[in-house]
Amino acid sequence: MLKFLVRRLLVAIPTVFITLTIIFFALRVLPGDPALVILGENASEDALKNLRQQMGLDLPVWQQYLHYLGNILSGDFGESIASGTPVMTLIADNFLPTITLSISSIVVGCILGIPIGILSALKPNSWIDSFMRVVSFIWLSSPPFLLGILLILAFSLKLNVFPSMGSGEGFWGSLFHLILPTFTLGLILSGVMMRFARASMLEEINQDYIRTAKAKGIPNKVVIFKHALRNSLIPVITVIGIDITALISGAVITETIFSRPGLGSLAVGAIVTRDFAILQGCLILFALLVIFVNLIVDVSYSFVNPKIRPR
Amino acid sequence: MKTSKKWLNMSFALILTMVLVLAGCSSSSETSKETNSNNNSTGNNTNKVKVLKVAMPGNATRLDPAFAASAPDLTVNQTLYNGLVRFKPGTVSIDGIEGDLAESWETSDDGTVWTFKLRKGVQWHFGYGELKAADVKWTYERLLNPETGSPYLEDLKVIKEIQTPDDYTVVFHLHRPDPSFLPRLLGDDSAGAIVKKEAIEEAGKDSMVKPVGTGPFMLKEYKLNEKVVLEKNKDFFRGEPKLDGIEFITMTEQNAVDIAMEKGEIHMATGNADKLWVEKTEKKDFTIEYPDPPLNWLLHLDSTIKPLDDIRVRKAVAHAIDMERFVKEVYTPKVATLASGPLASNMEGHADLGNYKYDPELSKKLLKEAGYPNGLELPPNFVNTRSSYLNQMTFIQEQLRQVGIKMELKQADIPTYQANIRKGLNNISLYTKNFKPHAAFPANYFFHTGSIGKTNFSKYDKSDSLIEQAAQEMDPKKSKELYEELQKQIMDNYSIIPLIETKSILFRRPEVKLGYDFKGTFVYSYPIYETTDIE
Repeated sequence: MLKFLVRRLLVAIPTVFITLTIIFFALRVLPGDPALVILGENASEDALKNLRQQMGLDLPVWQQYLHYLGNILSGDFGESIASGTPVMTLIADNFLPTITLSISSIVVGCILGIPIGILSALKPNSWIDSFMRVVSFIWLSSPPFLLGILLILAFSLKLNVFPSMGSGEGFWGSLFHLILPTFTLGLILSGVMMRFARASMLEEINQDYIRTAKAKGIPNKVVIFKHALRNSLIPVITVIGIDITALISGAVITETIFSRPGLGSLAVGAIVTRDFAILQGCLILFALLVIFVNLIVDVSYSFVNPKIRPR
Repeated sequence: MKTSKKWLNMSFALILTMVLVLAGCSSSSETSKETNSNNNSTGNNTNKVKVLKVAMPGNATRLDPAFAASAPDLTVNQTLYNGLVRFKPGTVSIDGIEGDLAESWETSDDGTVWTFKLRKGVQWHFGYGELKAADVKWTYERLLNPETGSPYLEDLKVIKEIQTPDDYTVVFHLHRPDPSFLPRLLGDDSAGAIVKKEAIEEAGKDSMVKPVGTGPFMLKEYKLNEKVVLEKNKDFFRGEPKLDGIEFITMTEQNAVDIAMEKGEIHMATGNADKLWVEKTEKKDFTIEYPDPPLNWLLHLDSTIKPLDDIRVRKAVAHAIDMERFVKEVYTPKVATLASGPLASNMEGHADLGNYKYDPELSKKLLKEAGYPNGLELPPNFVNTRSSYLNQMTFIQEQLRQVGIKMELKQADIPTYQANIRKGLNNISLYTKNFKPHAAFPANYFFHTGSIGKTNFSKYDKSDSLIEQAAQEMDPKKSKELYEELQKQIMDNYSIIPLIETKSILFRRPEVKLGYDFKGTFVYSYPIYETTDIE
């Protein structure tokens, strides 16, 4: 297992390097001049030139690239072009709200999606199955901005149960403010989970080894929960890994609707102001997050099914 | 197998714990000493803390007024700083300019020397001592230094020298007489906000987020991407503010703003100019206001490139657009009216010259005369992605198509749009800007050759001497005549097409008492003073 981890980490190094390079060049080809954004359209050419010089944007691109790599390797992500605040501080402030929202959404998605998917698979084509498939289809088709607004209208404005905005103060306040955003993303994710869990479970219960187990007289419960369930979870875990990226993009919209701080809204704000430093920092973190989550997914396979434990 | 099951259970428990811990961590990092809640501000209990919650359409990133430019920057800075002069609260007219940090002022006969007497006893936030004339001098010299890189440099270049004969007197020597000098010093738009040298230097790179002013409120907590929290300045020179604090909360989604307003989670916000939004919101228990100044929307035609270098083509464009129809269909009369000339109607020096008459037949005839009997195709133009820009430009595109002028539109976000204009990639640019209410500001910005390549989008070059003459005419009557002549010249040239004037929309909850008669605002939001209160 350790060898596997080391091997995966080594493979991650070129991936990170390529990602950093793509991020750098993608930002440099973005139209729009950060100096012009800061100084305004009335700025003289001299003022623009001065500012570009201060920001190092007047250097040849290859020099900017080397500075960028050097700074990142030494852990320096620079400072916000607009406010001068260190990017690491901004990311640290905004990382926790986003990661909390993402993880809680996954938890809700799994809790709602997997059991219902399995139940549907165990009673295929029954009214429960048909009903659940329609429900999952509705969640799957709901864009976060629509579902978020509907949840706010229902649970915040009409029923007055949850707050409609902000991230709350104190532990319970934060948890309370987290509920509606979590369900916005979690319900959508549960639709995906439900479908994958159902399909995967259906496939497993029709396998020969399940038939054999049943023929041997093993109780149905044991066959389902001990044998079929474990194997059917493997594709579901893969989906969680893939969905992390979708969750991050969903978090951008959800954070905006619920006026929560977070990496998504930080990155979007940075695009508008062409704040390269913040944008670079956010994109690098997103990339690292995806790489890390995929690693976790690979490792988790082995816990679900030891037969595929990496060597 | 048992081990795997155990691991599964443990993983699940771990994830749940992580969510709880993370929720706790994210809250603890945000926890401040605030004691307010959503409801306490609306209660009658005098022990409760009164915190006004204001929704802002973006992040306030530049609380150093030398660099503040966006609406959120200006909104927050208005409560933190003071200038030598200010608009009388709730107004934005030249007649309403009154002393702020300055108690009085006088002008030399030739209009080149302006002497200001400062209030005594004005205290800086956070114990930085008393405001002195040296602070005013340092503030303006900093803005005038090109190395500072302030966007306000161009507006203040008329200043030649600043003297401080004593601690409470500041003398400005100008290069030329300037009837618009007082508006140049207004603290309301940040350019004239006085800052403390020691505080700026101590903050270093953090000066954008560590503001120190003399205003009724001072910074308590700054969280980029979330909110700016202010607390009252008990030593404010006009008296202790009625509010205990203000929270400026970043809220970019209008639906979220509307719901939060309805729930009372915020107290005031910017509305939407859309007709449906106005009709819907007017039915609710809010106060909706349409403050001055109006934004004058102009279509700038680059008169140096083909085919727009031919005045007949420019005339054809001007007479092909029926903005009256646009106003009726898209806006309510409270929000938009037809433009009445190249300068906004609230400008000192504005002349009501009306708009170009809508006459599509005349447009077709002019095109034929110009050698385009079958119409023409303009090079592609970029349009700002904001809905107010897109709506107008797509309407104009369709109107032009009806007389045979094809124009391809490409959407670009604001930074790209600005950069493309500067590169000369737009031959027709839709643009609007909020200026201080004196004709000298837009005249120099849009119509002087010194602004070509920057903000003179039409490359208009016919009236430099008139603009310069008007800019230093101290006799108000003569000044008005000169500006009227300038506007006629611009209209006769057809390189600027005045379209519409729109007003911003603000709305607030009934419990908010502004403490002044509200007619206008220069910061795109409700100005908040020491008199503002929540009942």
